[in-house]
Amino acid sequence: MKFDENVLISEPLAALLSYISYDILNSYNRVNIDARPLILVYDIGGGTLDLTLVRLGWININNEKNLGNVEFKIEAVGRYNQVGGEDFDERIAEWLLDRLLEQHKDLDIELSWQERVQVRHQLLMIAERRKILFNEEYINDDDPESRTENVFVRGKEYQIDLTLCKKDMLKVLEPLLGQHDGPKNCVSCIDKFLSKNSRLKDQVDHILCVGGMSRFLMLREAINHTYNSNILFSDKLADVAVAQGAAIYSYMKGRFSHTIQEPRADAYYVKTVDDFTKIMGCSEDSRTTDFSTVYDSNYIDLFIFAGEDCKGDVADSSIYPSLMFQEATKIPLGSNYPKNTPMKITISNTGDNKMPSYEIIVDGKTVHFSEMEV
Amino acid sequence: MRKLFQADNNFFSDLSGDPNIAIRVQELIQEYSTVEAQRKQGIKESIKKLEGRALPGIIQSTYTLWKRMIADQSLRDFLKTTINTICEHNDSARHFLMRHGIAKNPFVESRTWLISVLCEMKDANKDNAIEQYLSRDKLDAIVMKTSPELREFLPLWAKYDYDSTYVICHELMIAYLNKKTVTDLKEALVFLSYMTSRSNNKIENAVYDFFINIGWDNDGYKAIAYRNFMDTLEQYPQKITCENSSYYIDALEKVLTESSHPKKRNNYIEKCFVSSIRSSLDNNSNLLPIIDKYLRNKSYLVTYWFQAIWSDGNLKKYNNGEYFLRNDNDNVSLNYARELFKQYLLQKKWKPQSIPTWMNELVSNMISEYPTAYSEAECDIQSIGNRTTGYGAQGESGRATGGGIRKK
Repeated sequence: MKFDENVLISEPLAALLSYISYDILNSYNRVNIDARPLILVYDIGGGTLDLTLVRLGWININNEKNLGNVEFKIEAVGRYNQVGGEDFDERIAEWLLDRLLEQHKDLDIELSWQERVQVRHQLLMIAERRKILFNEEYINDDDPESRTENVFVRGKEYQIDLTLCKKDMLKVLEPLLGQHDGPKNCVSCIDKFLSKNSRLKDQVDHILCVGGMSRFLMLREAINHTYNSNILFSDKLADVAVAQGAAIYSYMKGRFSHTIQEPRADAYYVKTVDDFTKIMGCSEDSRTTDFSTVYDSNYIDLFIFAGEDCKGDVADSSIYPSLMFQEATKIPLGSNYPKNTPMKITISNTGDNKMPSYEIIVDGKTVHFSEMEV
Repeated sequence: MRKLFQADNNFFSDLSGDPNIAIRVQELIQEYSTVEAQRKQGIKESIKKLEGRALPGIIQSTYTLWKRMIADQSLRDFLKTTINTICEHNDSARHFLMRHGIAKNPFVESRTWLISVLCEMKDANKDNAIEQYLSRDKLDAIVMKTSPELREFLPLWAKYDYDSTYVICHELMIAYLNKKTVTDLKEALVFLSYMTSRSNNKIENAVYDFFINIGWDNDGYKAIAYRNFMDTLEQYPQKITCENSSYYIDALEKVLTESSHPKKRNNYIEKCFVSSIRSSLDNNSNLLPIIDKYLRNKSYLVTYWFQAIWSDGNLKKYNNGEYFLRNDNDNVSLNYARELFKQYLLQKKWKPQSIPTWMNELVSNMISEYPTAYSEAECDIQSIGNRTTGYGAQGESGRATGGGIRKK
């Protein structure tokens, strides 16, 4: 293995590597690897939140306790958490808009598409600044200062009062941080992730918060309040952990031939006349599934969906809402095949790019080979 | 100003929109059918609260939860109302519905339902949005790739963009013809009818391609199946109008001219043309002189013309035969007279009572002009039992012949 060879690693895992490396290097011992801790990596950035559950342990308890000897066993990878700092900005910007309309009644007008883009951009910029400032006030326990900013609408300047106390902010961010579960809730998503992976919150030893948005104290408090876990957070590493971890992993692969097997976030299914049949689970590298044709035809319609993994070969109905349509392909068979002709779909990961490819074999003959569209 | 943060093009840039919300909406829709009224109300409120952001989840649920949706009318009604509300003042949402709900939707049931939702939408801006969408997104290319059965959608589509609708209909017609079964022939005829009914000069290509590509799969010959195939052609007459008749006739004559049959016959054309002429004349008798005039120069199709108009009662509608009178001494007129005589003699032999007086007078007058043509017609009638049949018909070998290949 060369040190300059490209390798892929998921962001949460890279962040964890970086954190553990930092912990071992500085002998902080905040994570007791001897106890085989279960760590939830909570990586929240500008637009996404990635959750990964990792069991740590020593590869060989008798060897030197360095990073090369740490076993990273990925137990679960979360999927589809399109929530991050931008959602916080948007919530605050919506609040600003309400304030603006409240303070300037003449602004209740119909805007053109272009004007809407311009005003929205201004409000989002102000919201982001207000969020950062609020965080500083909150960390330092300062009283909220009275602040104003200006918004330009159709060339005219309008002033908005930005004074925002903790109580107001909690109300504004309720859909993201509150008790009420919602699609963008950054706290309750942990519960859902754990329960889908048959884990209780008490079984998690640490929650490692990384990513730019993990700096937002109100978020870390909300997680801590709900999960009462030992939160791991390093302001120094919040933004750089992923890049650092990737470099460390590259080094480890060269130095120790150390590879970490990561499951995919998605399992893949094909839609059949009756149900959704799994063609590849999250932890599988390859799989062959048998089907048969239902019509006398010279083509087959292939519909691929990505979704949560299920235990059996066929998705149970609880999986259905998680299914996201990936691709539809009409595959010509070259000639007519009768109903009930045997058919196989073989799917496998091709190399390091993590993009599965699939082959369709009808009556023993390969009729189609393709890489999965994403 | 209040709509500043409503879901826009950015949000609707792909099918998932926001995957978190899409999954949540699908969860709520799945739950809806299994819970009591109070919770149903709660679910409705939750989806409504998401406004435009709920749309990707609703569309996806028609892909994944269709079986549940089809069994629950109240769920479908609720979703229909929700889609209407979302799309009412949101162009981006309407475009999303067009793209992922209809054009790129590979599932027939879900697509059909969403088309009906779109068509029933009571929104003044709907038409405008569809128009914009169609002109921008080259829907024909998308549809050809993913959804070749969008017949329900064609009228709405054609309203805004007939050219691309025509392209699709044409391609689909040929695709169905190439399958060479009775069921597929019906589909192809529906598309042909759709195109001919638009009275556009483009139908010439459509009609020509239809008869060049038509063919019955005679592999494993079955007389009944063949008869069904021919009957189908008869049962779906094309609407010939004053506006499209010349294009229609030109196309048929072109096919016959290019035919390798020694007598330039084609039984598919015969069946289809005869039934189409009869049905069109039943609806509009003014067509007769227009078509007759146009057929003067069409040496081959004229054979079927007399066959078509000589149906029961048709000729009796007319008071005299001035349309049919010919006195030019050229080959085209000779041919025309011979075909008229042939049909007259056949009719005289089998159904003399159907011949109106004016026809007897017309034929008497024309015999003096075209004595040779009359003799030839008499010979043809005598040898009628020995005649060879047209391409695509049951031939002497007892098998269907010809058709199905397009010249490049």
